[in-house]
Amino acid sequence: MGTRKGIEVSIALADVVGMCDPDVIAAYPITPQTHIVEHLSELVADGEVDAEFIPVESEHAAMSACCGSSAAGARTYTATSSQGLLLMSEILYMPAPLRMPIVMTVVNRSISAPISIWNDHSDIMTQRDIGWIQTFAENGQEVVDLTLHAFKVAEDKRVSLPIIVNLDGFIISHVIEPIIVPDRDEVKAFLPGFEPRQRLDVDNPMMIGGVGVPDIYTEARYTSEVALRNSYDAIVDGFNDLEKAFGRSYKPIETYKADDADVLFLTMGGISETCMTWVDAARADGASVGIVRPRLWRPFPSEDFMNAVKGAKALIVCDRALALGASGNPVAHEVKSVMFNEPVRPKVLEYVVGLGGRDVFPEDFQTMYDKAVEVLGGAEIPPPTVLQIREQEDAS
Amino acid sequence: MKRQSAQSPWQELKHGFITDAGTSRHFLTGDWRSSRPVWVYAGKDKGCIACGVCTIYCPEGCLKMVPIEQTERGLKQLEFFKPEHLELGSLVPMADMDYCKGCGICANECWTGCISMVAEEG
Repeated sequence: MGTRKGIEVSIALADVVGMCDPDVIAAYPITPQTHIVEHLSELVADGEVDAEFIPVESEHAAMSACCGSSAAGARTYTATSSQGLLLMSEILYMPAPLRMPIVMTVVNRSISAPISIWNDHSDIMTQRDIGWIQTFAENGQEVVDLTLHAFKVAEDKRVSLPIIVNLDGFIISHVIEPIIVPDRDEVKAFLPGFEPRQRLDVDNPMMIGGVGVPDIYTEARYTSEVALRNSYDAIVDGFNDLEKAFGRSYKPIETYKADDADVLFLTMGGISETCMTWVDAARADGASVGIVRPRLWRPFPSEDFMNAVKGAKALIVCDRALALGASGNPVAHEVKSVMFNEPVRPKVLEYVVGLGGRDVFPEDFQTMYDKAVEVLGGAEIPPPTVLQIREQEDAS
Repeated sequence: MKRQSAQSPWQELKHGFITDAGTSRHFLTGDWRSSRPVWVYAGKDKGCIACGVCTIYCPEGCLKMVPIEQTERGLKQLEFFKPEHLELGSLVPMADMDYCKGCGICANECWTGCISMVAEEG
């Protein structure tokens, strides 16, 4: 079943997107997403993928073309990063209320200024509320699997919503990993042909994207909210289908050695695996520590999250984005909101780590863990902290 | 198909906020207008050459070519000035005032300068 090979994650992803038989790919190249769309355009040019590749002039145009092709009933794919995602932003709010099942890979990268091509989650955290389903991958295999899952769930008649699969720029996208790449037949069996719920048709004209006057705007936006919340069941069914087809299991909230842990880390993306390495070592030294890893970011699986953290005494949230001037950072904000009215909940320590490609080492988790132990011993909870900041040395 | 009205609860909205085609016809937006285009189809020095450029540039799509006798003052101008290129039944542009917002793009684009924008009063 499938072929296990050493392959760059971006190339494996492009191969698998090709196997998903998209009708339209509209994309603009941006580091570190480039290899994905470069390889896809080769596959289309070589006749291996029967799709229309639209080499648009910007990301704004890319997402506009995606909306148009999805409205026409085409299976549609795109990918971007960082500034490209921000340039897309105006259009990103449209496909969810219009129920267009576009699949997009976001290769997470920091945002300007200063200009930086390296990884953190600053780009996607600016687009939390666009109404798309959003998942996070931690390694190359997950990138491939979650992309298959994305097409399956987006096109599920119960859902019909766009999906973003997030992966870390360079740390995942450019690494050569052992990946079990599925066979074309397996993908075809897993993902049957796309039957759109609507398609533009000159003989049966309709209006998509009409004006929402004050009398109807509230209701129209609310349908998008309900659709996103109701997509949860189909997302879980999609994970189950994926496990049946390919044997790998996924959950909306993943955990690692969390069941009996006093202290939990919350990590998303590639640093989760670094954290696992440290947790293994710390457990061997007697630390009661584990990890909670939200795989599904939107719709946020609040109930699964509460079940995962309710037994812990402290939760250390590792944000990969700095929300300037806010009372906390995006992921910490999210989970604190979930827990605020719960009678039993862990204390929350908020950290920002790994900004703009700053490596996160096992020792960093040790530093945060030590602080959590102090808090559990009675010390005050520290304010949200940028962990790796270099301070001026004391002149005295 | 049921029309989505101001009274529709959210459950009745169609998937993807799809609505019937052509519904903007129901909204008569001409009353936004502060000035209106007026044509000189035939005059002493200038006149409409019925090229149709104004109908192409109209962003509202509310200009169409109609027989000159159906326009407001076309027949009078035809009888008085007796232009060589126009006769009864000649097609000339006319604005549908239910939708014309008075933007003036037709007057700006007109090659012969035969369209004036005249302030609406009252």
